[in-house]
Amino acid sequence: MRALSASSYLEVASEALQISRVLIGDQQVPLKTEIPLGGLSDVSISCHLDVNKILEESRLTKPSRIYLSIDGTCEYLGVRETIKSWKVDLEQPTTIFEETLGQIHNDLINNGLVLTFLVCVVDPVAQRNEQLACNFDGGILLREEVIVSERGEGVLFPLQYCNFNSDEDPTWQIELDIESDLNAPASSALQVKISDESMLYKGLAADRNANEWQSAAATLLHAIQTECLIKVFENDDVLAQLQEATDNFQRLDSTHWARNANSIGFALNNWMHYFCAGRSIIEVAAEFKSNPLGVIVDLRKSFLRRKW
Amino acid sequence: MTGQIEPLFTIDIGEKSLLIPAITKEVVSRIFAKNEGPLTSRPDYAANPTSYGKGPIAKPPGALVSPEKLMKLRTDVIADLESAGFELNAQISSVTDWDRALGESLKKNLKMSLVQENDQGVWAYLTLYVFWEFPTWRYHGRKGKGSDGEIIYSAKRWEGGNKNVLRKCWMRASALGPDLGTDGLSGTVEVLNEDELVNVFERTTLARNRDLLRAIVQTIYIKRPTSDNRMFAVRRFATAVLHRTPTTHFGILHEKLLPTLSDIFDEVNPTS
Repeated sequence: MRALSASSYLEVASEALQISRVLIGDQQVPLKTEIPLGGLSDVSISCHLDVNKILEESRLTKPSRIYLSIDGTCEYLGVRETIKSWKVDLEQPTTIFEETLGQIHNDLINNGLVLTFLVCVVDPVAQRNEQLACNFDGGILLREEVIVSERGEGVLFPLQYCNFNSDEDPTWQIELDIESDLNAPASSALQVKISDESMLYKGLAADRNANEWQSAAATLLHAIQTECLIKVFENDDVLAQLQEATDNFQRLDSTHWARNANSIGFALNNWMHYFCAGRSIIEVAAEFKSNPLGVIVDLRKSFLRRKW
Repeated sequence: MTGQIEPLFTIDIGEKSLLIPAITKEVVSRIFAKNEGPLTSRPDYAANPTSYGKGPIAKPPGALVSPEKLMKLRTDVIADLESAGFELNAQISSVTDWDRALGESLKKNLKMSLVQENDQGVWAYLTLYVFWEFPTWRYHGRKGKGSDGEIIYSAKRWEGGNKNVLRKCWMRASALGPDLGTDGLSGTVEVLNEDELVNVFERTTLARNRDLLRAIVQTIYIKRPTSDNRMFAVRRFATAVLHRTPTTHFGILHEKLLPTLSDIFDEVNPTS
């Protein structure tokens, strides 16, 4: 029963699809600069499909219908859609797709968007005597993901200015939502809200080269780290997940995006590793439970000594 | 290929919708810890026509909905539920019908942007500050472990996730319509029950793809129009479709989508 078991069929090596360019407006993805919060942005692509290679490697023949399709996924906003698809002309040895696809809402881009290029088959016809060719409709022969933006990374760090209507009048408020998506970067689980009357707000609104901005940014990062760890240490479920995530992080290949030293995810992981000083998070959490103040003081000290 | 400058996604971003305040999960926990049984009168922290309520409420920048409009939303939704035969705070005769009526009313009366729809803090705010008695009205809780037989409620009905009392109904009505996909089908078709809906909606890979979700539900109604013997068949079917998603691109199937799903249903439910 195929539906309940893993499928075995011949896929196609990624060289058959060369994505040379994906542009949002005139910016190459992944985006490194801010885009407006609302409105729409043009998206254009340029890619090259080697039709001969697809047929050769998948062991399918020309009566099959092959499609190139682009799916857009924004996990944080709960959106998955096939946004564009083309039937590939199998009479041509190669096909070049180069065009402005249309427009994408900036809300999707600002909340983390992935475009997935898929080459798939409908009405598959296998080459003679080929048992391993894909034999079902919609079979995915090749899949390439292009990250347009990562929510929680760099400019897309989920920071929100707001008015608090509170007797306590907090300067900032942090929510750690680890359930949002297990595949998302750790920092995307943060919801950070800053009171727009506070000094912190004014500092963050200042010029980025100004001392006020740097001081405010450092304060915020410190606040996030301390607050998150406190939340983590008080929750055994989250603690176990974080330990697993940290272990996984240590095993990541050096080319993985999260290993990029510019990412907040990297900074947080690096700092936590430094702070824990070889101890597991669970050990530190146990210490926190018996001596919370001591651990917080250590957190602050290690923040001041950080080397990232 | 021809280039067309038009929105690529079919979703409605709802950019012009009024914004609703939000609270964090911590605030929910704090208030929830004080709750002692069903709420029948307005708690002192809740919103009223002149105030968003008490506590650390985050108000996003932009055009905020007024407290007065929030109270009107509350009145309208309660009126819709009452006209569907449900008296406020009274025992609910059919929770499936109550959920459907609430989903339909929220879909009609509550306009939000896509970002706010997916903000758990917004749903938590609406539940605690605007529709404060809805969780205990809908869920009567279960007897606690203590010898005094205290009633225990699940905080997840207040928090803004998929199990939130409002969000759950709104999501279903939003994706499938107020009739949960039975519109246009024979009158003998019985609407999906709670377990069946959970099995589809709480698998995010399926639920976030609206076209696939609707086709799955349509297939279920075709294959098993009545609820007899349907629950386990739906569980197996939803799992099987999910298992197929890494290898099958359902979005490209178009006219072949329903036959393909029908085959999957038959594969995992051979006696149907």
